[in-house]
Amino acid sequence: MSNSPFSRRPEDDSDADLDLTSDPPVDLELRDFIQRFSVGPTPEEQGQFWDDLSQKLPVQKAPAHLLAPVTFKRYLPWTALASGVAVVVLLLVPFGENNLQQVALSDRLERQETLASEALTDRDSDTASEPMVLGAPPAAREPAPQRIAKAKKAERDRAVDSQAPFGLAEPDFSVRWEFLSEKTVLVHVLVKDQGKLLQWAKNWPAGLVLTEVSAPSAPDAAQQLSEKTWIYRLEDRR
Amino acid sequence: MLVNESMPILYRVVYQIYPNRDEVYDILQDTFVKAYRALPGLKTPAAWNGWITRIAINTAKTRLSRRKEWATAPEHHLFENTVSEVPGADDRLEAEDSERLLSAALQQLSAEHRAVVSLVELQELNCAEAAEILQCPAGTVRSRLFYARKKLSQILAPYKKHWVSESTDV
Repeated sequence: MSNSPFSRRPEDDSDADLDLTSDPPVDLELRDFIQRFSVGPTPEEQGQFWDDLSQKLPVQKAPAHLLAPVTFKRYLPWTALASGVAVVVLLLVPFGENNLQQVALSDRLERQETLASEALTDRDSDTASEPMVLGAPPAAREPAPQRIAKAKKAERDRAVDSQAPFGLAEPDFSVRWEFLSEKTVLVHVLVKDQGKLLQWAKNWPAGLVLTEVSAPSAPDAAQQLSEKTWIYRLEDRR
Repeated sequence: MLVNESMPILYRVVYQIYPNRDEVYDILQDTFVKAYRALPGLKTPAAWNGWITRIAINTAKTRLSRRKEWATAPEHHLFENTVSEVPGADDRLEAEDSERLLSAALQQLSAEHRAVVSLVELQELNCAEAAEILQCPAGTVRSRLFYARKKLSQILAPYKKHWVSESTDV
């Protein structure tokens, strides 16, 4: 037998008269046990996952030098346009009006300096890595540390305020929904809100089953909550 | 975001196949990097779940095949060393004990049986869908599922009455 863990095993040959043309019936008790007690990520792992992943995803970085061909070509048209405008202004001013010429010249120089400094500013903000979001629009131009802090806060907010499943309305207390499958969700609720959850559940449509999974757990560091949480399992059996 | 929604589900699937938190974390990181690179190959958004699961399982399979100790038959004494004695008649199994019990029971199966259990019991896929992800015939999946359920039921039978069983049916 090969050493691959996925090669054929002796138990594959047992129960030779087993019907393999249709799926065996579901063992609900066993499935329930497996879903309730399968090991999931810790809050720390969930919180850290995107930060670590964003370091590994390939991100386009701006050239390191102002005179690099890409940067130079990128800003040359704008510089040329500004110069052209300045030339037109100069041509419109009558001869002999030296003061106006001097003003136009200084304006042109000022515009070129502004464009050059803008080019430097844009380059500086591009040197920090930008979180790459699959399928999402690009982030606004802010200093990199502020963008990353905002992305982290948005992630935490999304984890706390993600949409209630199965057509339920949003509750008026804090709930975290952790989706296991299309029909099964783990419900994380603060100890102080457990009564509200159970009261709310009484008004749910028939077929939604809420099962207690575990007693209050350790404080959830990812959500920066100082209280323990109850965990329930919500299944849609409709 | 897709990563935040998919990660907890995939974590549970991969952990059942490869029960080591550090390794699972690395496997999932590799999975999403591979997915990002191969994204143009995803035909429709609706196929995302099956597609990313296949990448995750293939990544776990590659790591498992490198670790020759996972290729050998499970050691039965590991179960006795991991799980404490069957609780008394009035005792309840706490959630942590149940997690440990399930993990130890799954380790009595081979990697490919654990993969079938993960896909069918955890993700509630049918055997044909699981076969497509595992790239083997549906009949093979059904056979392994039958064996895995039988084995797990035998192992877990003494502990059944101690499971937490409170539920609210609305």
